[in-house]
Amino acid sequence: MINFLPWLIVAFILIILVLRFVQPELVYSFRQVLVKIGMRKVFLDRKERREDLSAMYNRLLVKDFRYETLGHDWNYALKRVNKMRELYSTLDLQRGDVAGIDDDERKPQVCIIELANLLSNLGDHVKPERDIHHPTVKADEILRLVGNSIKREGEALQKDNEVEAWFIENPMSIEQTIEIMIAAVFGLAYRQQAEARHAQPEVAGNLGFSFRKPAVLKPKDVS
Amino acid sequence: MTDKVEPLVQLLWADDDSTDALEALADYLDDANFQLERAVDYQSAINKLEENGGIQSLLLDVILPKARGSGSLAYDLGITLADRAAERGVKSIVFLTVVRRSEVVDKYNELVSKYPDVEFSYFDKTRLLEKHVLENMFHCLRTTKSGVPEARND
Repeated sequence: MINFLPWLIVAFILIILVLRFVQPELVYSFRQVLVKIGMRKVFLDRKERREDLSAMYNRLLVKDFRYETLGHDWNYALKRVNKMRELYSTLDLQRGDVAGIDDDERKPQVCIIELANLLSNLGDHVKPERDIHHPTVKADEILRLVGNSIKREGEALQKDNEVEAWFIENPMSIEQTIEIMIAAVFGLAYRQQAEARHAQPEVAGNLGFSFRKPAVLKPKDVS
Repeated sequence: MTDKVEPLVQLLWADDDSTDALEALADYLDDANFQLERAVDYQSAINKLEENGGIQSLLLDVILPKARGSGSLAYDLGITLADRAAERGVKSIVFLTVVRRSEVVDKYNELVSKYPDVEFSYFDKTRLLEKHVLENMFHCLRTTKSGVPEARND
């Protein structure tokens, strides 16, 4: 008689692999359900006053915060940002020991990688728009602002070489890097919202919103 | 879980994890005689506070989405929610969050001194299942400055 079990296992693995690349959301939704079930079990065990379950609980908590960044729509991106902040806080080395998370597993820099993935997903869907050409705050200005906000005492950083020297002397924290990336995520998410509103068909009586260049009032219009 | 029956306390739990990873905590709160309402974001928490004048205690995260399906530009929207809740007469406010207290200590202390009649407490989410932490948190949720849970009359 043919043993079907190995074939079933192979088929199952193939299906999982196909899903992983074709419909990854399904796999990750499944993973979220597993986290929820795991949490329920941990709480039930806690209720029965079993041993300290903090380690298992924390591992599930981190698993919940950290799943691969997949989406690209603005509300997904904004929700994900909150989870990144929570993940960073949990893995932050400033925090004391976290039960269940060994020191070599505490890699808060994963938040940078996940935010980079999120920016990449959002960036893939940005539509270039000829009419969006506001003045740009350049990177040197952003760094100068960050440096001066942290520095507070002494003379403010002004020249580029002062900014460079200061950041080499006072390396940027992972958290600061994350916040700069989060600002970019918010910026792109808001832009996507504007694009979505603009794409909505106009109907009579609709006070349409346009993300295009706002109409400039001429002096005679102002009166 | 507890031998004696505690008085029923109307509790609002504002945390996007309250219907997600931490949903199991809701059963615990039920068993501990909390009449639980849940909100997954700042806006729905405010709506629930406005709709239900009887809410006595608030359990909340510092990091909260602003509205359903959105994030929040401010990383500490929970502090703002606590302020609004205290303003509306909630007498016991407990933070349950992964944000270290030292990160929000100025704003937290500001709340404590702004509302001397409100009992504020702060719990680390990563220590929730350590010995006695849950029990302490439940105790704080029941504690008011006057010592007993009070009914609100808005």
